[in-house]
Amino acid sequence: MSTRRLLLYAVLLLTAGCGRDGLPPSFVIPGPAGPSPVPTAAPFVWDTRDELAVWASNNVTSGAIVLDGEGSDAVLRVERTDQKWVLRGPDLSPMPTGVRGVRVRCRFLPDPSLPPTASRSILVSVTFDTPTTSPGYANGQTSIWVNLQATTEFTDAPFASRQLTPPIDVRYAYLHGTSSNRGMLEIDRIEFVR
Amino acid sequence: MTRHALALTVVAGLIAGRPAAAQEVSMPRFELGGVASGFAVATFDGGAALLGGGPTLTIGLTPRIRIDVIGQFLGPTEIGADGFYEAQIRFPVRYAASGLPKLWMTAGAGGLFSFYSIGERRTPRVDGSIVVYPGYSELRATRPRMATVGIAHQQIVSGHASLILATGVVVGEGAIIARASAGVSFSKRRYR
Repeated sequence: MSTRRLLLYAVLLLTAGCGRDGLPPSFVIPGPAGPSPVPTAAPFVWDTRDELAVWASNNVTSGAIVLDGEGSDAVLRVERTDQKWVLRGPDLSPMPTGVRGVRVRCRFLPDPSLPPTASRSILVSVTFDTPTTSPGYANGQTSIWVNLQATTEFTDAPFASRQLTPPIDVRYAYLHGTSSNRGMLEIDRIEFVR
Repeated sequence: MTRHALALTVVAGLIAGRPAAAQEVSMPRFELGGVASGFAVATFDGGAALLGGGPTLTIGLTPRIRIDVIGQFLGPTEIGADGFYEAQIRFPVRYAASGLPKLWMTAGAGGLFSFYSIGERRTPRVDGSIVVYPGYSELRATRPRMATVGIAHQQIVSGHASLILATGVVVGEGAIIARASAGVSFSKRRYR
């Protein structure tokens, strides 16, 4: 190696900071396949027993889940909110675009045996799987979390007040909860807001 | 240290006087070695004492001017190691009776580097899918914004090995660092 070339290397060393920009991209190993979609009366609205049944029984849904009632009065019931539970929706085809949020009509019924000082709310999330990972969200999936208060009547959970910006395309969605508060969650209707 | 200061240092080295009786120096073109240093660091936030060590490469630009490229690891971190690198010019200011340089003036520039090595991480999602974050290793270095100046004594201990003792000051990155080093250098070619 010539002295001149060595000198050039020394100059390069002195004039440049170095380091690779960016991390190697993450990738996702898909989970179990979801259920096939069933035709719904309104697009991306699950209200009747047949429509909600897709969420109740598939390879991912787990926990103490019961589908109860008939027709549009049917509800998905999570009988133990203090245990892990997941409700996985169908793989959506065609994929809904421009989804701005979700509306979930539900009620949380705390266990009557809870002491008066016990918390009467649970944390519930709706998570959307999108064609590309969502930066800024845990594990790259867009999630909306709400704190559901105990109610005797069905109401729209405050998911609807959390608008997704920008709107997203959704491959599938799932609901799950993290709570140690014992009780029952009944879901009457799930609707994507566009 | 600016490049102007470096240029000045080179010029100073080139015009540095030497005893008329000294014989023509015959230092090897390349030397490889290692160095261990103690650093006393003073910053606005306080002070610290560090130990470091690492490899050195010395290149003889001219019979009198030499460049040392030095990397010193300052200690392990949870995911790798931090260190200090520098390139310095070394020129003789005093000679031994044998004609070989004995005392050197050094000046240069350096910066900090970090080495990371992070293993692959897998995060399961609630829906059963798994996010895989590939492992990676990375060497990051800051620009050489630290100036170094000092003196060094080189003692030939055998035909192919020499001992270098050095002391100096490093300034930059919000710190003033006093340094004392001891190192060895090996050359394929004999020193004379």
